[in-house]
Amino acid sequence: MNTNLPASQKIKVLAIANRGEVAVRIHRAASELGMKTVLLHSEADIQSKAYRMCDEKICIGAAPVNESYLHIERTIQGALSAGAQAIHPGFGFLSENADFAKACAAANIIFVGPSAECIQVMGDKIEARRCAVKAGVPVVPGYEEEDQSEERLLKEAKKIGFPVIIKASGGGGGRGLKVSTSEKDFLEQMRSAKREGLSAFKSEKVFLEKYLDHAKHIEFQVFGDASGKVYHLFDRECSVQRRHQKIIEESLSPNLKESVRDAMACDAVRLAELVSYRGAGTIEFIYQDEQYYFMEMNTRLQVEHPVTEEVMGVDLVKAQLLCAQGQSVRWNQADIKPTGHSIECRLYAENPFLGGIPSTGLLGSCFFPEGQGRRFEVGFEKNDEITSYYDSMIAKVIVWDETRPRCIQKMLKTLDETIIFGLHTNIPYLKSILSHAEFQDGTMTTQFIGKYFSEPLKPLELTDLEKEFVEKAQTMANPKITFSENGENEGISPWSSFWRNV
Amino acid sequence: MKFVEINIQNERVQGFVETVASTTWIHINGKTIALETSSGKSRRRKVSAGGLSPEIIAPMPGKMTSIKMKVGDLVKPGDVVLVMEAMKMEYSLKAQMAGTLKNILCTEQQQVTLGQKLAEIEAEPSTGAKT
Repeated sequence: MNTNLPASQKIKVLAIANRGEVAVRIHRAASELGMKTVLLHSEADIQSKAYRMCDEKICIGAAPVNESYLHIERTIQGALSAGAQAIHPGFGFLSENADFAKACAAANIIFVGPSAECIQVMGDKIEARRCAVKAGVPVVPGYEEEDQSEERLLKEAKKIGFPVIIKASGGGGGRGLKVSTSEKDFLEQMRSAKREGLSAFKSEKVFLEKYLDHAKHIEFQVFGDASGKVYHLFDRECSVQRRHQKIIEESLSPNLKESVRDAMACDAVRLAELVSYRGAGTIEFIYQDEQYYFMEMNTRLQVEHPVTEEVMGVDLVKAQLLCAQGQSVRWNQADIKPTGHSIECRLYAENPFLGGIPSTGLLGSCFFPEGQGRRFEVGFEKNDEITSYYDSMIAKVIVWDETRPRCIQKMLKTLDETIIFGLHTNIPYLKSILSHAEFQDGTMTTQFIGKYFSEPLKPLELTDLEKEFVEKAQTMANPKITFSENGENEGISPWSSFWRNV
Repeated sequence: MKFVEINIQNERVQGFVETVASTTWIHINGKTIALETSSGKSRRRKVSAGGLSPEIIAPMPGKMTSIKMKVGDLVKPGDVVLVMEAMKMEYSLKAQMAGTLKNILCTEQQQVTLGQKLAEIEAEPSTGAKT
C-alpha cells in the first residue's frame, strides 16, 4: 500500500502491533531512525521489555488474541489515536492478513510490508503454487487431475518418480494415505487408498505427489526495494523443527552445493519480481537429493531474520522501515556476500524433561552472557510473566563465528552461561540438539527431531561435586530448611522433585 | 541472583543461586536445577509425578480441547483420557493407573488452571494390591 503514498512520506510515529522480543527489535530499529514508537499491547503484556522501552503504549484489549493482537479495528484505532503514520506488524498475528493491510490503507496508515494483493496471492496455497509455476520455479511434482483411470495414474506416478505418496482427496490425519515405493506396488497401494477414501470420505478420488522423506527446509530471504528492485540475501536452513515449529535456524545452509544455491537464489528473486514484492519476504523451499521445490512464501519478517543479518551485515527491520517511507536501501546485489556463519536458538519457557510442556509464571533473574559474536533478542526479564495466552518464547540467542563448527561451539558455550531462573527452559534440549552428530555434520532433515528427540530428555546428571554444591547452596539460600544426607526418610530429598516440577 | 563459591573437596566450585516463590534455582556448570523448598508441596508433587496417581491434574494452564473417554470407561496406564491445548500446542493427558474412569471434572473448551483436578480414576481391586 506504500506505493500509493508520496515517495518522501516520513514516518514520525510508528505503531508496533506485536509483543515480546520482536516488538523490542522493531522499537530499536525505529528509534535509531529517529522515529517515536507506540506499542499496541494487550492487558497481559504490561510486564514486558517492549512495554518498558516504547515511547508510548496503548492497551487495545484483553489477553486473548482475538480481543487484542488479532483485532484489526482496535489495532487501527490504537495507531490512529497515537498519531502513528505507519504500523509494523512484526510476525504472526496480523502480519500476513490482507484485510489488515487493506484496513491500514483505508485509514491512511502505512502498512510496513507488501501490498494487500501480494499477501492475498501468496497466502493462498494454490495461487502461490500457480505463481511459482509461472515464474519457472520448481514445485513438488504431483497430479491432481480428474482422470482417475488406473492407466493414467500409473503413467503420472512414473512421471513424478518413485516413491510417490497417494492421498485420498477427502483424506486427513493419515487416513487414505499410502506410499508407493516402486511401480510394482503402485496399483496395489493406489487401490487401497481408493478403497479407504471411498469408505471414509465417500470419494475414490486420489492425488499423487512426490514423496519427500528426507528433505531439508531451506529458505531464501528476499527484499523488494521501494524502487521496485528485488534483492536476495542468501539462504537459511530451518530443518530443526518440532511439529512444524522451528527451533534452531542458521545461515547459510550447510552442505548446499553452490550451483544449487545460485539456482535457488535466481528462482526466489524471479518469483518475488513476478508478484512485484515490496519489503522483506521469505521464499521457502523443500530440498532433497539436490532437487528443490517451492513450498510457500512468507510475506513478512521472519523470526529467524537475525541469522541473515549477522552473515550479511544488514539491518532488515531498518530496511523495511526505509522501504515503507519510500526510500531506497541502495544495496548492490553483487556486493551482498555472506561472511562466516550464524546460528539462532529460540529460548522457550518449557520443561524438556516433561516433553516440552510450557512452563508459565513469573521469570526470576536472567543473565545473558554478552561477548564477541553473541546477540540476544530478549522479550521478557525478571518479574515478567510468561502466560498461556501466547507462545512461550522468552528470547532468541544468536551467535556468529567464522565457521560453522566454531559457531556451534560458541552457541553451546553461550547457552551454558545463560541463566534463566524462575521458569524451566528448553536450554538442555537445545544443547542436546547442537551436540548431535547429525546436526554437527549438517545433514539433518525435517525428520531430525521426530527421529531423535521425540521423547522427553533424560533427567539431568550431576557429578558428586555438583550434588554437594547444590545441597550446600540450597541450605545457604534457605537456612531454615534442613534435610538429611539421603533425604529420603524425610520425604523432602532435594532430588525427588528437581527435574519434575512444572 | 547470588554468586556462590563453595570449597568442596579442596576445589572451589562456583554457581548462582536464587529463590523464587517456593523454589530455589541453582545454576552450576551450565546446568540449571530447581528445588522445591516447601516440603508440603514437594510431597504432593511426588504423588503426581510418581506414576500411579488416581487423578488427572492439569500440568499447565490452558484450554481443554477434547475429552476422549466417558465416565465408566475402563482405562489402562497410558490411555489418553483428555487433550488440552496451551500456547498453540496440544498435549495428551494420560491415565497413570488402570481402573474405571469415575469422574470427569472439566468440559471441552473449558479454560483450566495449573494443578486443577480434571478427572478421577477408581483403581481396579487387583492392581491396587500390586503397588
